[in-house]
Amino acid sequence: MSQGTLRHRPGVLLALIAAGLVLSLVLATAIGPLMVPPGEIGRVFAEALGILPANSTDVTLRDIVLDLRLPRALSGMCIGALLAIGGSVMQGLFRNPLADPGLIGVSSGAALAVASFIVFGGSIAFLPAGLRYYGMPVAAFAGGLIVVLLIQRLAYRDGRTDVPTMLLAGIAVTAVVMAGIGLLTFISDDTQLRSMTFWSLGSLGGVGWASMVVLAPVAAVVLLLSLRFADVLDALMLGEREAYSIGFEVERAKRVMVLSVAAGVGAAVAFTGLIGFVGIVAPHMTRLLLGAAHRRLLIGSSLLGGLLVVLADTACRVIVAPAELPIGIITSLIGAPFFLVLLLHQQRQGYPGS
Amino acid sequence: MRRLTLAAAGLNRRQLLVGMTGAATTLLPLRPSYGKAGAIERIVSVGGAITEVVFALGAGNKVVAVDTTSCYPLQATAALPKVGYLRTLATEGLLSMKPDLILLDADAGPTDVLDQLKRLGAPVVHFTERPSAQSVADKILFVGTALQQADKAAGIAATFRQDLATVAASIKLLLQRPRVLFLMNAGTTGLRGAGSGTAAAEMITLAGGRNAFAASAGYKTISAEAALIADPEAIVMMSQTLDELGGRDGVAKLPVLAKTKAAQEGRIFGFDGNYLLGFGPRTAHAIAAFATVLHPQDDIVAPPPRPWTMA
Repeated sequence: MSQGTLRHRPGVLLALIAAGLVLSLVLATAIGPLMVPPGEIGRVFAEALGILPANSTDVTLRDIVLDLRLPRALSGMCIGALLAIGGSVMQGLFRNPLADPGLIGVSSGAALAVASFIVFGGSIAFLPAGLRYYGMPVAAFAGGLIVVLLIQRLAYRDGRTDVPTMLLAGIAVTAVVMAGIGLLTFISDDTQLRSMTFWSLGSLGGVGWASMVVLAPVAAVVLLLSLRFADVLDALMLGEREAYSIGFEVERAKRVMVLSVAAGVGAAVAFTGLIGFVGIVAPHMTRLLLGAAHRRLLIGSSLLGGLLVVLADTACRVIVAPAELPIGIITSLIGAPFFLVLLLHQQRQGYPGS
Repeated sequence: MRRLTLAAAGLNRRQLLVGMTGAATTLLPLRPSYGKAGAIERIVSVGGAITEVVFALGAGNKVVAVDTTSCYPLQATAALPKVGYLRTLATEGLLSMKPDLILLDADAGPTDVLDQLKRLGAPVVHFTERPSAQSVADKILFVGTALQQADKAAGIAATFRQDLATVAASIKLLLQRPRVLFLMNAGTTGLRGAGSGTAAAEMITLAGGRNAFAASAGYKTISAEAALIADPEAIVMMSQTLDELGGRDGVAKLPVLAKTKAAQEGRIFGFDGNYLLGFGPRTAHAIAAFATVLHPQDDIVAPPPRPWTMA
């Protein structure tokens, strides 16, 4: 079947992507530094579901599969989806295929907050030990949101958010924030500096059920919310004025979308650090496969984003086992060339978004 | 001492680990699959100094994996699987080595991974004392207890303390305290000088020098002007850095350093990073070697070679 005919059957393609996502989740739970026959993994799940009697599998393997791999794979799926939705919405909002959530300051704001937390967090004596696990994620989330709100406020005049101003304000504010990070880098000690570097490379090494509890609802809400605005995003492709005259509440939509992207991407980044490229690659690949209509794009890219992150993370865990690679390296290393090939191949046939 | 008494009392390993919580340790519960009562057969050793101690205790053949900072003894550690850099460990990676003991040095992390290991009941013992020459003896005793070799460890720790005292006594007699600058290569951002509070600063003091860059805290990028103000009489760096920068002549010609006394007199030295800054069982010998270079006119009494310095 040629690609042309498949593109006229988006339902089939969407189902294929979904199947790929499920397959990637199975793969992520089945393989890792501790290699065991697939049958053993099956037995672990059978035991967990009560089909096999308790304690009939190796306790180490059970811990690894159910307490490390499974929550990590599911979190990876949510994180990929959030990053991809963030990218899709930003690209629609800015009408620019290169836009990503970083433009409105989510990542830099989160990075500044995390750097502050790393450098000064030790002196926050009143922080209860039980909250420490959530300390850095909360800081990252809040930092991202504050910077986004600031940029949005700067671009707000005469009762509307001016998108080009927002873009420029984003660049300016990000520069200031980066200077702040630079200053923190300078005053940090060796250990703090290393923590910051690792955070900026991204890793799913620390996620577990505790992060899944936060990520799953956030991903669901952000996806549903963005789908509500799919029509507005479609209309925005014609231009802001045009969308308004068709009858959409463009202002409110812009504000809600920016905030939900900030919250979603902020939550993802909070638990894993920066994971580059997914927010650009996933929406683009989806557009090439499914076309640019936003309802399809949002669903497709969230599935594809999840698929990409789960696969990339699995690669990180296995390639240099028993050590682990930062995931940002893999997403860029594999994502970028793959994306280029797709893009160049497709350019000859005409880009569907343009 | 409390730990040693416990070991002498012949308690099993689980009780022993419980006893160690009083010291600088983090106790983690053991599960039957990990802590099969009896001898320890599979060790994952994380941290260069910890690994040196394990080998000094003669348990090197039980080490199944190390981290990337463990490079001594060279041949043995090079042949072992690496669980990554000690600050970026991976939970499943560690567990996949099926260890019955995971030894972690103070800097091991990230915290998330340590929490996961704790939650899963992995057989982790964590030495949390900050690396320094003073903590080495404690580290030896700590690892010895974890390896059920407390008596042997006590002997090595005593020898180490004695060697450290020998060198210190010899250095105390020196009249000169030359200004020393330790440089770290930070790639594109230039050379970083070791300010106060760094391992290099401690070694400079122990070797009878003064840290020329003490006005800064931590490792800070150094400018030509700052280097001139510091005016070091000796410049020290890791051998690898020295080679990268074109050896002694190359470093002396760097614009940042060219005007300093050390550069003009060619007093630029390279040391193995782990040896000089690792704070392990070889530290007393490293201090003596460092002091010999800093005080060429004086006789530094070096401790005799020990089995763990000759691997």
